[in-house]
Amino acid sequence: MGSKINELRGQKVSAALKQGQITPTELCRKCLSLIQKTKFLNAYITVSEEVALKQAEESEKRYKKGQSLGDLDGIPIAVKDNFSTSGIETTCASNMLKGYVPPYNATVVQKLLDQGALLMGKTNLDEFAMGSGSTDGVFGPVKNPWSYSKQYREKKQQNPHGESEDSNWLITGGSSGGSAAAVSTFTCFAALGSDTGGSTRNPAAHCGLVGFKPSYGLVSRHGLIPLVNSMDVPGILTRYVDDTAIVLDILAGHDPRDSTTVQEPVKSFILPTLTDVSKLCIGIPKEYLVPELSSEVRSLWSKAADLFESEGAKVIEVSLPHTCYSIICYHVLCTSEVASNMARFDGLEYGHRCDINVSTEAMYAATRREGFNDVVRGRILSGNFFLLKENYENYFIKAQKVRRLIANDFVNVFNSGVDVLLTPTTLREAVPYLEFIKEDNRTRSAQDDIFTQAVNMAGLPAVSIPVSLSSEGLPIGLQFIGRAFCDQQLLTVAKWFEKQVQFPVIQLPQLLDDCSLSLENEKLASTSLKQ
Amino acid sequence: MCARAVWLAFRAPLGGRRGFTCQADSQGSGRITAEVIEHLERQALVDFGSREAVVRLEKAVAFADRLRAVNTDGVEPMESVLEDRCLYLRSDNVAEGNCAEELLQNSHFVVEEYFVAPPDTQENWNEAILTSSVFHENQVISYISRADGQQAQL
Repeated sequence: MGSKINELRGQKVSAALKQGQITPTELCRKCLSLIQKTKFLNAYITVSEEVALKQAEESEKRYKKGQSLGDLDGIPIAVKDNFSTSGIETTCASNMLKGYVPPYNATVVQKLLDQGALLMGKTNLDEFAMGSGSTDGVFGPVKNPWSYSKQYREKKQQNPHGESEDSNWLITGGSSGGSAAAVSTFTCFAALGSDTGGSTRNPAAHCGLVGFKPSYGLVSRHGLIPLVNSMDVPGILTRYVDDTAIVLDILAGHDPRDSTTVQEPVKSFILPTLTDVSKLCIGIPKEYLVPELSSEVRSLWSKAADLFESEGAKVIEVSLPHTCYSIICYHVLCTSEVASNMARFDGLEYGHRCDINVSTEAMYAATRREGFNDVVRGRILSGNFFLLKENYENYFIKAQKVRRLIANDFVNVFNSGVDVLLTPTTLREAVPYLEFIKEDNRTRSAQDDIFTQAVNMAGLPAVSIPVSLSSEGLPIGLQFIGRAFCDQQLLTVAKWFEKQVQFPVIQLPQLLDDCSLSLENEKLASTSLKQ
Repeated sequence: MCARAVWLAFRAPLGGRRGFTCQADSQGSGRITAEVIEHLERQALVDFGSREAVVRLEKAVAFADRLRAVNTDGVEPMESVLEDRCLYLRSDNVAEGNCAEELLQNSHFVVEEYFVAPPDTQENWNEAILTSSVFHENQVISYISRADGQQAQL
């Protein structure tokens, strides 16, 4: 009996690879074919076809000898284009790095490759990961695959055709929208994103995926082109929590090349199956109930809380008193660190260089004007303003103080016995692009990051889990926030919740009808990477 | 309007000049004077490029101003969430390197093992024309920096 690629998760695929029911090369080709078919979504900037096929070939040899490297051997993955990949162009969706080919792999990329994963390509994003829509990159915006889903189209009473009629397509959210689109269209089983203010969780919520942000210091940032050094983390996007755990298990741990990774040995992230939640205490932060929250998200949030309670968990309202200042604090710290990090782009050693050679300053200025878009330049200017001598104390230092208050809010709540916080991920479901672009990037980011950025300031782990479809047939996700370095506990709770809600698989009939992946002897429905 | 004028006067930057940009819109702070613009453009080596960019900065500053409402007396600034830990330091042994050639490949303008930059100012350019003996496509190379970070003057 055949099984469709859209019903598979990595676990059973891994099993199928081990049992020889499918070869890495076949799997690779299926995914490459899907990438071709979904090109109109603009999820990928670079498709590393030759590299992937070569890796598949090597994986196949290993499987034949019975020497697979592990659960990720032969599994297609994608990487956001702000991670350095040796020999493969890394652009950050910016003119500044068009044509830039790094001479090294980011640590997280190297770790995945060392496990035999197949690198399908580099995914699209907002320029330099600045944005919440994946609309502001130099290669154009990413389209949300759910715009073309049967679920959405039926609600809009349209025929589930291809893309040609649709000019009102929806955004993926951002900035890791390309990675989200890549995973949700089955072109890969997992993708790396980055998360500075919610850039992995936001598109996960809009694309019906599991979007995980690890604790700051758990996963190496070496090779992740930095935005905000004190908040950036690599993020993981998958369709199932178990797959996230497998990837995290490989990525987590101290890296001598990133001195901000903690040195304690990390335990395995293989998740136990939680059956009894009666010992759990779930916190609901009251300040997250904002007027702008859509009634559907609010309703789902409430139902989720009720679900935990009905299963015996303790569910209590908690307070994070400085919540309303969080986004402002984030805005100041983010732009300030960005201003510093973007200073390296001067055209001398790598990246774009203008033609002007009259003087160094003129060259730098023209290079940066040509290389950066308005959003990036705007943040650099804002950041520099806050860092001016006369402003430093009142803005930058002030924001650092407020950051401590925000981080302390979380510490106090977790110290009071709460295990995990439950909040919305986004204010509402994905919106049409044409509506999204009515406001500028900074305004949108301030709106869309509202539930996610406080977590980055406190360095905590958080995950967005897809819960259910809205009345328009679009995904809505909810966020769980855990204690620092309790990533395994967080994912265990998330896995339990995922099982309760049974989020539906996206139906993309035009794309997947003829893309069945035949796996003999087993009906594999909704299987994941893990055994 | 009157209160706003007083507020603007109170917040006037050193020099007191207010440029064309201080047209107060309802969210503008009125602090982005021509002087500040020039200073920021020089610091950031990024130009505003348009009036809209200035307005956006004003809005960003007005947004940030809302932090004033938070009482932070006695609160220490937080630089990193890992402040209670010691950063890892490698032992002082050379374990990698020798990759000058790879690194040079990514630059647009390289001479032997040197990254090439134009002269730093117009004045130095003028001086360099008189003293330097190296010309490259109508440009004068007066300061170059090597791939290992050392600087050399021709």
